[in-house]
Amino acid sequence: MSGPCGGPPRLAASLAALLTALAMAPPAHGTPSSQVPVGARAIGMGGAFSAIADDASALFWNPAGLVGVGHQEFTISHADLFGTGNRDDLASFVLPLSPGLAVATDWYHSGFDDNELGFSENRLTCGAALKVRPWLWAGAGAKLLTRGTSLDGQSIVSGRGLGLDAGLIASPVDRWRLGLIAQDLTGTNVRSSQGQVENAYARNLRFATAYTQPRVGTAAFDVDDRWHLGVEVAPYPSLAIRLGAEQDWDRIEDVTWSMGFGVKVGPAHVDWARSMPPTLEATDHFALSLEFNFNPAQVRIEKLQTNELYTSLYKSYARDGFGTVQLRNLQDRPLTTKVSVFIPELMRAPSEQEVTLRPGAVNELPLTAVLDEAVLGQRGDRPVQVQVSASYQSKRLVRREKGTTRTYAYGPGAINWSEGMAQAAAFVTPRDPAVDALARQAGRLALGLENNPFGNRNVAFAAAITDALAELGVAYVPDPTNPFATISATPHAVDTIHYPFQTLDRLSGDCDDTTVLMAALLGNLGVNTRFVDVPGHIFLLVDTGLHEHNRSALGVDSTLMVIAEKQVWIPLETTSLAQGFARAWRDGADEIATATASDTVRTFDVTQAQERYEPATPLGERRVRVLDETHFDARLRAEAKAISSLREEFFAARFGAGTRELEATAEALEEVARIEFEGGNLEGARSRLEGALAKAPHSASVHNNLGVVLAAMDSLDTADEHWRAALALGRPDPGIALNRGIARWAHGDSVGAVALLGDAIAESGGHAAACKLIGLSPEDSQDPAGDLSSEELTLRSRIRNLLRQSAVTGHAGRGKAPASSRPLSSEPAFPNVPVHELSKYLYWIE
Amino acid sequence: MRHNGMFWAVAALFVCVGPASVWAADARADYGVSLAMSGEEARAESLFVTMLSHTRGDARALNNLGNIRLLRGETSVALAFYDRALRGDSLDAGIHLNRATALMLIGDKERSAMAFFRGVQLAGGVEQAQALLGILPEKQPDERAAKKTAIDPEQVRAMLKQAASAVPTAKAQAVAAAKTGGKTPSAWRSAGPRASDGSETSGLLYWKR
Repeated sequence: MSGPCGGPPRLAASLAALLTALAMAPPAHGTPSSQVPVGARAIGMGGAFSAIADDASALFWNPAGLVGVGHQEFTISHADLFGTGNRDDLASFVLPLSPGLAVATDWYHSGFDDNELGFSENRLTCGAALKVRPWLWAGAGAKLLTRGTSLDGQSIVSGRGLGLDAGLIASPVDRWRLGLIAQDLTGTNVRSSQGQVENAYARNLRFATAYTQPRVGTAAFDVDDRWHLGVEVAPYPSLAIRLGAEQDWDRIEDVTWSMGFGVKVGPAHVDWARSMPPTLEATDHFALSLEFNFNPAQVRIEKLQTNELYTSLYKSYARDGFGTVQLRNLQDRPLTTKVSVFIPELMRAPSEQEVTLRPGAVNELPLTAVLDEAVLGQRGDRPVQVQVSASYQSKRLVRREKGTTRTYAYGPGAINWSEGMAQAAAFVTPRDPAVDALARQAGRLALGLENNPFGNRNVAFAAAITDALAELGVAYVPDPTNPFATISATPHAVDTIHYPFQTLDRLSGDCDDTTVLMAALLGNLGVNTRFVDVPGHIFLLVDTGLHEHNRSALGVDSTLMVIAEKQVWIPLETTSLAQGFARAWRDGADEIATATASDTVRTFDVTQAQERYEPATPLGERRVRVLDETHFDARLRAEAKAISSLREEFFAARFGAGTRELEATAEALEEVARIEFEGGNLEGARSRLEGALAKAPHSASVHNNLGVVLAAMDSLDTADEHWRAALALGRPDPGIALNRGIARWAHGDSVGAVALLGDAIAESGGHAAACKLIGLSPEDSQDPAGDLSSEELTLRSRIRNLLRQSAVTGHAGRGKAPASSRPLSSEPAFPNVPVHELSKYLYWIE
Repeated sequence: MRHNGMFWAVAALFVCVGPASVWAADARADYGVSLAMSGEEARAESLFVTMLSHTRGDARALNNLGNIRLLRGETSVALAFYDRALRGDSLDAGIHLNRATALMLIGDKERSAMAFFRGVQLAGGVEQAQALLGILPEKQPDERAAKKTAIDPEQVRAMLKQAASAVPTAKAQAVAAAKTGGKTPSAWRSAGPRASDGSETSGLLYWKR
């Protein structure tokens, strides 16, 4: 027996509903019900069936039960009453229209005909039932009754009349049902063609109850002008055995016993019952039922739960939802279902999601909805209706189960802090035109300061934004009605945040207003922020873009910074805007220190929070605030000076003497010059060496190396002066002469070159040693394969040949043997190569 | 006795002067890095050159001077500084990573990959390498802020991951070794001044303290 969903809280309501119905019903006449009971199953239980009423006979026993049948059912039954030849037949049909609505009709015929006297009664009943609540069902039926009597085939009298039944079934707790049926509410009369009126069925009230023990059976008890007691036991799912008893209250007759059984085979039921009245002959009742369902319900909406809606967070409802729906899959297989959510007041079209429901289980799904952006134009708060439906493919057609509930939609700006501080990220609107205009102007002016005196781009932006707001006169004004300190600590209290454009318009705000304003302005400039949540207050951390390893780059004391997620942030007290950036920074640091000491500080990354609480910019007019650039620039420069002093103080305190010792030696400058030269920065190298020369004017190495750089810059004359100066300083280094010779060769003076090189090669110890001095391999074959261009290889080869030729000439001049036995090359002496290409083969004194 | 007296005198001098000078060098390096990262590159450069005056071939000073050159867009000079710094400390992962970054900027993908590989190898993994460069492992950088830097952190991150997964072949390593072994002048190529804001880009380099 499947019945209304019930529970203990429903008990009082169920009893109240039934008692109210009883009180309102017309009083019973106390006369016995003159309707002949129908249905083999009900009769087998002694007529104790009004609280059960879950088959096609429900239209007779209690029309409220029709809604619990759950499938189409067609039943025919027959009986020969008391062995008198009085036939009793019934055909009935139940059609569920939805899980909460069903209709039914039946036709009852009772008749007797012994070829002389004939009597017949026909009753056509139509009824419907619905679920008023999941635990309370109601139903009603209207009937048309005709009666006729004939004699020898000739009609003697006939008449017709109308009747009305109504019933309730309630389930105060699971397995227990209560039923109330008022049959023939108006007293069903039959009016004959001669105008005579006969009361065919007296008004009858019946109170019933039933209890079902799963896998055991059901016990039921009905009371009207008789008491009825019945038991149905189901030892097997396909077999039911029934026993019943009934008797008049005045006990004029003995108990009427009844029994029966039912067998179920597939969609077919066969039932038999025997009623054994004390005085009359027993009557056997037979019934055949077919139950089928063209399009049965496979999903049931068990529970619909919604939270209050905050229109400022409307985008978050598309992903995270605003409540849940519990859907029970009644099948033993997974079921693909399309869940649709629609709030007519807030949406243009339903939001749909396709889900697969686990078999036989309750699946809880989030209620997600894409709300219309026009919700940000909503004025005030208002109740809304939430419509949820689950559509799926039933056996033959698509079915849709529906559920509705109501909730409350708060207007733009409303926020419930008990749901978390991160929600405030939805109010951070960097793309708002009013925010964009101010942030861009302030940011541009900050970047316009020479050499970024703030030392960090993000700090400069934070200073510019803070000072811009101070310049505009934005003031911290606590909310007089809902101070943040109070309302943020009150569970479920609804506060209001002003959007940044609103705060800019009003030029004042609470701490939450100024915090989201600052976050929006900085966000517009690409600076990430974090909300700082301390008891009764909210302010901001600004990302410096520095890794925690590089925290010293900020140039401030560690108490003025916060490390979060390995990054360096600076705190900004957004209620101190009017006092400027430096003060807001210090106040923020003080707040952090206090909160950290009491371990009550929490922070939320705004960008991350906006992944959940995506900001939405309300439409409407904007007042764009414009800074007086001259005045603002002066303020920002003063701020920069203060911050710069702060940094200098920190550096002096931390590094002490190191901040003043900036004297470089000539050797250091030479080292740097060498690297500059290797890197191709000839001007830089020259500058360094000139600096070194100023410090060490008698350094032969500086003169030589400066000559190399100048030669590379095609200043050969000046280069040669430095080389001669180096030699004049008495440095016995053949490399210097090599430089002079190679440079002269490159300049076209091959004769002078050979003479100089000959001496240098001899002094250096021969061709191979000379090659080594200038970083060349002595032989062509020793050049690294595949690494040098053909032009480079050719140049190297020519230099080697030049040195060989020079070595021979030098040898001839001094009467010494040549260093190499290789034949002299016939290469032209003039290399036709720019000097700066050769410069890499000049000798550098390390 | 006399020898013992000299020993204690030298020891006392080491204890008093040695750590002090080490501290001074450390403080100078730290200060220079702070200055460079806060945009005061000229002062930082002077400070690092001063460090070279105290210790010739100081890898910290050379690496950091390379960083300053990289921030100025003088990539080839920066490479020369990194190469020179590696002569002093060839096992410093951060210098290899800086060099890799510079090579990446001039478009030398092959050598850049080799250098990233070496850097990641010496650092002990991608995350450690990212930490050296001041890049948070998984955090998505702000799109607009990323565009304002000369070095794309995403590109560096990708190269680091690639370096961790793709081990160069023996042939490629041999070629690279031959290149660094010979007296090969650095290419005279420059990426040009890219950095619009040094304080942003500087956070993506390894500063040796």
